[in-house]
Parts: sequence; structure tokens; C-alpha cells
Amino acid sequence: MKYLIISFIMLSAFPTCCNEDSVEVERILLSKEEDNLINYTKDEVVKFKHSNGFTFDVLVTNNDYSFRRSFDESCAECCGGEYKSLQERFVSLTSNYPNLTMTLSLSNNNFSYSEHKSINFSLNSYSTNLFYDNKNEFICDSLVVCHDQIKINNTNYFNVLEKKLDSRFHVNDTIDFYPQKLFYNTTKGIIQIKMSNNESYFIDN
Amino acid sequence: MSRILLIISFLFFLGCVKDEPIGIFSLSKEASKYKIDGEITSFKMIDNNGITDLFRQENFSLYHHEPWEGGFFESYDIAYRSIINNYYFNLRLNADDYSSTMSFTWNQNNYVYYDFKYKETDSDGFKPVISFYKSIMIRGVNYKDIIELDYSKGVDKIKDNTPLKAFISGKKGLLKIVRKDGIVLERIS
Repeated sequence: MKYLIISFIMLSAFPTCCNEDSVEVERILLSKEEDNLINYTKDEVVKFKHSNGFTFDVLVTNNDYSFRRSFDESCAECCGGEYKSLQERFVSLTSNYPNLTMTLSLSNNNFSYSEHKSINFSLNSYSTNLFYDNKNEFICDSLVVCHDQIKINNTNYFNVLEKKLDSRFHVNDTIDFYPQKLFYNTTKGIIQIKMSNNESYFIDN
Repeated sequence: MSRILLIISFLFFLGCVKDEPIGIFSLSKEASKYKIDGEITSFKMIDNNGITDLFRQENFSLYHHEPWEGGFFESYDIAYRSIINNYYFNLRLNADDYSSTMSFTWNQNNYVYYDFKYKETDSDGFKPVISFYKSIMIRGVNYKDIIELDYSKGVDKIKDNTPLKAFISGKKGLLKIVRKDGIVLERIS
């Protein structure tokens, strides 16, 4: 009997999962202006060229919209808690050779370490964030060079962001070759990927 | 009579039980030639279009594992992944009480196995021809103890990113990749 009472006390000390459906209280869509920051459509083929002359096709393999549930409390998901649905967009581009996998994701959230929203860009295991403000204009600061105009592969591009890429994994000092910089604008999307040895991949108009 | 039968049965079953090997079983001299230098943490390759790729070491281990008490089998494992083409290459050497073996994994989906003692090859898909050479010259550098994996006879049975031919040096690792589309990557550092 003593053990039964102890067991009852121990069990009552843990909260039980109420297993109730959570409730959506708000649905926040990406604004049209925000959505326009990424200008790709599914199955679109973008011509790219390597600085040594090799040309190749990059295919837009995904352009998906989804909703992510944002709960105010960590345990709310299984206990009938309230959540907001935040719209997200995920675009991926791939090429057969060189085997590049590039992704752009737009997330309508404010949980980021930054006060600003951003587009996350990744190339294989390298990535960066392009931050934008409430007017959906990209933010130029010490980490981002904003070019009013820049010539890449003999073509002039306007309002181009230049941002350094970081490795998602620990990289030791012997690594002296990596994707170093992204050049991006809202009209053309990914304009150029510059490598650390001055090789580069750029769109071929 | 029943006691005699019991003794005979006991001796019969005793004969069926194999003794567990005890001792240290290291890689054979031949297999040891193909231990890629684990201090090579990265290397570069360039293709015939002038596109550079860098392979960085993703895993390296050398140890004796103990599958049962008192038996230590040598195991050597090294893996590289490339930054641009996302190539994944893994070489594993193993010793046990029977033999020394070598296995390769390409892009975590093509597995090839070679037994040094019985000169046998196996794989989880199309079986490549494995050849061994004393040396090979690539971009003016002479490399020794070469393994060639050749999938030429199964070109339609391998994935696009599985090398049609690959050359691996015993100490330096991956030297040359010939792709199905004719692109050739060669070691430059």
C-alpha cells in the first residue's frame, strides 16, 4: 500500500499530456513585395558559366510555399495551445555538373537572432543571410556591400548585394578553396558565386 | 551404452564450435600499402574545363576493435567530401583472423569490397573491375601503389556521380576521376 501511495505521488508530480488539438489564431502570409525578393519559378532553367568558360544549366527544382506553426509556449503544441501560422517559401536550384545545390528560403518569422527578416542562401555547405527591413528593402551594412551598378561577365547589373558566405561546418586552416561571396539582386536572383581562388560562377545572359 | 552415446554427441558438438580467435590481427603488408595518409586533411582536383574542387577530410580513424574478448582486429577508415561537387569518398581497410579486406563507398550509395587474400571483389550493385598498378603519372607527379576502380562495363548501371573510373594512391588518396559525361578530374595538390 505504501508503494502504491508513493507511485501515485510520483506520477502526479509529472504533468500529463492532454493531447488536445492546438488552435490556429493567426495566419501571416508573405507580402507580395517580400515574395518578389526571390524571382524564380519552378522548372525555370538558368544558364550559368564558369569563369574558365564552361557553361551549364541550373534548374529550379523547387519553389514551395508552406506554413510553419509558431507557438508562444514550448508545451502548447500537444495541449490545445494557440499558434500562428507563418508562411515560408523555399526555392532550390541544382545543376548536374558542377553538382551545385543552391537554396533560397524566405521565412516569415521573427525568431531569428537578428531583428530583421532575411533570405537564407546556401550553396552546398556554405550559406549566408540577406537581411531586409520592413519596407522589404535589403539592408546594407558593414557585412554587405550594396552596388548601385556592377559589371559581371561584361553585363551591367543594378542594385546588387555582395555578401560573404560562411561554412556551416567547422573548417580547418588548410581549407584555402571555398565559395567566398554571393552577388544577388531581386531581378536576376543569383548573379555570381565567387570562389576564394578567383574562379567564379555567374549567370550567362 | 547411453553414456557412450552422450560422450560421442558431446565430442561431435565440440568439433562444431569454432575457437574464437585470440590475439592481434593487423592488416597484411599488401593491405597496409593502401592506408591513405590521415594527415592529408584536404586536397584539390581540377577538371578538364578548369573547374577546381576541394576535398576535405570528413572522417579518419585507425583502431583495433575487439569483436570478442581477446581478439583485436585492425580497422582503418578515412573519408573525404568535396566542396563543389559534393563527392563523398570513403576507404576502409579491415583485418580479421581470415584476411585483410578493403572497401570503398561512393557518395554513400555505391559500395565495393575487395579481399586481399582471396583476390575477390564484391559490391552492392554493379561490380567494378579492380586493378592494381605500381605507379601512375598525373600532371607530372609520379604516384605509387595505385588502385583502379573501373565501371566501364556497367556504364548504364551506375549513377551519374559515380566515377566511371577512379584512381587512388595508397598514400595520397584519390588521384583521378573519369565521369560518365567525359569530364576528368585530376589531383593538383
